[in-house]
Amino acid sequence: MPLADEALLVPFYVNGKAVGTIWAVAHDKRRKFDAEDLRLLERMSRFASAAYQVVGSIEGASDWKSPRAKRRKQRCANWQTDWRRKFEFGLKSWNVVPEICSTPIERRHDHYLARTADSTAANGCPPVAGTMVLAAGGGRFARCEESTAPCPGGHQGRVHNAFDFGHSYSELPFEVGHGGFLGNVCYPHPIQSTRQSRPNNAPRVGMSFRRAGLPVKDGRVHLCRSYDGTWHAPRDVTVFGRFSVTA
Amino acid sequence: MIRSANFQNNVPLETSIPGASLESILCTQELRNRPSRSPDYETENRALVALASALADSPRTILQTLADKVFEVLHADSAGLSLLTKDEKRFYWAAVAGVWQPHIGAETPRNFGPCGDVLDHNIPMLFNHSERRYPVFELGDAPCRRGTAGSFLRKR
Repeated sequence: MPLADEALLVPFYVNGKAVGTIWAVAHDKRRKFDAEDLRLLERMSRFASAAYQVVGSIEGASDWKSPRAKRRKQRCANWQTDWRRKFEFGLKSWNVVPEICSTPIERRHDHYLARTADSTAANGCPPVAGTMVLAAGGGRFARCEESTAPCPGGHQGRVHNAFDFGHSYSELPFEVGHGGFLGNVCYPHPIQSTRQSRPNNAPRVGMSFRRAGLPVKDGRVHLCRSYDGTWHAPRDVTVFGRFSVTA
Repeated sequence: MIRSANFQNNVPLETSIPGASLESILCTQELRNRPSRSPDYETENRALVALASALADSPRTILQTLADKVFEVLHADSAGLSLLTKDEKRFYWAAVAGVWQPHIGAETPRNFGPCGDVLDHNIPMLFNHSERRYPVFELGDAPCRRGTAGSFLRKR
C-alpha cells in the first residue's frame, strides 16, 4: 500500500450526524493540497450526504453494512430458516403438543423462535450448531430456564428450556407442562445469558427466569431440571425426537 | 455544519494512541498559508453535472462515481469515501479511486484512524504522513491480507 504523503479528509453528515468522510490522498511530495482543494472537497461532501441517503434508501437500510456484515446477516437468516423448517417438521411429525400443531403458524407467537432470533442478532453471529428436543411428560418442568454452557469444540452454548412455553406458541389455552422444547444453541464465541444481559425481558414476556445449572453434558441435552430448581431424573419425560442444525 | 478549518491549535489532541501524536501529523493550518490555485469553475460544474446525471441514471454506483470525480477534480493520487458502519466501530471504504483503489471494501477501526479523528473533532483535517500515528501504513498492503489483529486495514 503506497504511503500517503498528505491526506485531506472532510466529514459529511445526514440529519446533523456525521456518517462518513470523503478524502483525497497525495502519495507524492510534489502534490500539496491547498485551500482550493479543501473548498472543492467540502463541496463534494455535500453531494456525498445526498448520495449516501439515496443509496441508503435503495439498499433498504439507513445504515451501512460492510460485505462481512451482509454475509453474517445472510448466515443468520439461513440458520434461522433451517432451524424453523426443522422445528416445524418436528412439531408435525411428533405431534408433541396438539394445540401447537393445530395452530396456524401465522397465529402462533413463537416466542422460542423469536428469542432464538433475538439472541442470534444480539450476538451478531450465527450459531455453529443447534439441538432441539421435543418432549412431553407429566412432571413439573422448568418454567423457563436459560443459561449458558460449554459445548463441544470449545463453543459456547445458550441453553433454552422452554417446557412451559406451550402457552406462548398457541393463542389457545392449554395446560402447561405437557410438552415443550429444549434447545441448545452453540455459538462460536463467548455469549452472555439473557438472564444477565436482558433481565428486563422476563417480566415483559411473563417469564420467570431462574438460575439454571448446566443441562448440557458431553454435548447432549439432559432433561432433568425441575420447576422448583432441584434436579430430577428424567423418568417422567418422554423424548419424542431430537434434531440438530449445523451452520 | 462543518466547522472552520482554522482549528489546529484549538483541538484537544489526545495522545493515547501509540505512535505519533495527532498534533504532530496535522497540518491543516498550512492550507491557508500555501499558495492556492485559482478555482476552475468550469471543471467543477462539469463534475457536479456529471454527478447529478449519475445520481439519476445509476444511483447504485454513485459513491464510486463521486470518488472518481474527487480523484479527477482534485488531481489526487487516491480518493474515496469512508462510511461509518452501523455499530459505529469501523469505517468501511465504500468507494476508492486511484492508487488505493485495490483497497476498496477495506475497513478501518473507528477509534484508530484518520477518519475517526476527523469525526471526533468534526472538522476537515489535513494529515502529513499519517503512518507515523498509524504505523500499519508502513507495512505495505500486507495488513489487509494477513488479517492480523492489529491491522489498520482489514481487507474483506
